[in-house]
Amino acid sequence: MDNGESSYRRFLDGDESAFDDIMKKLFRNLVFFINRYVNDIYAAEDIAIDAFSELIIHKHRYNFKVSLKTYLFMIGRSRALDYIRHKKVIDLVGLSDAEALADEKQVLEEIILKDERKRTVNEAVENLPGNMRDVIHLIYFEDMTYEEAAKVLKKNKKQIDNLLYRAKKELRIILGKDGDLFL
Amino acid sequence: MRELNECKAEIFRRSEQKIKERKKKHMNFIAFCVILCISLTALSAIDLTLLSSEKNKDTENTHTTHYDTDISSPLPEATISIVGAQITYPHNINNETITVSQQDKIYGLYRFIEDSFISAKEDAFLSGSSELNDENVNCGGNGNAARYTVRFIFSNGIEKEYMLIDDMLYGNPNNRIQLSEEQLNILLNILDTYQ
Repeated sequence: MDNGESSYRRFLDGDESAFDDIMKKLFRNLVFFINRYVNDIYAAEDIAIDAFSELIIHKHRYNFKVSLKTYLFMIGRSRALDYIRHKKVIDLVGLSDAEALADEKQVLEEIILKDERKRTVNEAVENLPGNMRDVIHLIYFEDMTYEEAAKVLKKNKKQIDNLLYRAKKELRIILGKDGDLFL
Repeated sequence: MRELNECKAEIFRRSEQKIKERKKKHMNFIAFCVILCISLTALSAIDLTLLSSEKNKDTENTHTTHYDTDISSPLPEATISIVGAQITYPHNINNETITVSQQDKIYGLYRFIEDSFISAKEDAFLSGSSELNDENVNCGGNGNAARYTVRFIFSNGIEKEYMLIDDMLYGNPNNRIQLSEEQLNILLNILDTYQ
């Protein structure tokens, strides 16, 4: 399945409209994924913009060996971790700001997760520990293969397999008796 | 949340900015490299000049000392040259000297005399004779002997004097050699050409 590679090829050949296709296909998903790390929709958007800038600044860094989605998610994750690492001062978010953030997040979820079942799982995923949350996100919400998820999370296929197994187990507990229906 | 178009505009704006920064950094790096190269070249040039001047100084000192002590040393053509020669011929009542300033001729004469001393020194070394460095050299000869005096003047102000009495060639301070018949004839021929 083409995850933006052909559009990016067209963009490299000088077709600027191809970039719109990549944006439509991947931008919101990337913001949604990064938001899992930074838990701030504006920061996530900013990081996603930076990740997309990489496609323009270092045009020949992407070698088409992995899907463009995987490549962008790898950059996004790396930037998100940098952001967390370098964020020394904890921002005190005011109540109104927090409400605005929550609203924005809900809007994004509605865009990304059109399926009601996925939204229910998403709520449950919020309660999972970091790695499990990421692996469920990539495989369940982004339809990535184990190999692609392994690349994004810098793990091997076996580790992804184990993480997914444990994550599903946890989710079944969180979702209760309906867990099997969703997963 | 921003619209996709806004995000796209922001992506292009940031990319442009970053590309500019990269170019600036690249140019700065090139400028730094150029300056570094120029500095290194200049430094090495200065260093080479200093080294060569020191080397020249050393050579000059060595050769000057050499001339003062060792009469059979070759002429250091590169640094010191012979500027003139004064020749006094035998049977010259007024002791008048002929000054020769043709460098090639003077050099030929000087080289011949020096070579004679060198070959004599080598012979003396091989045969174990001490004639060359005889301390009681009698420069006078007998009163009737033909006596040539050659004085070489060098560009550094040093003068070297040689005397030919009969077949004995005297150098300063106390060196003498006996010339073979062939050597004597050649030397007399050279000396006669200046007369």
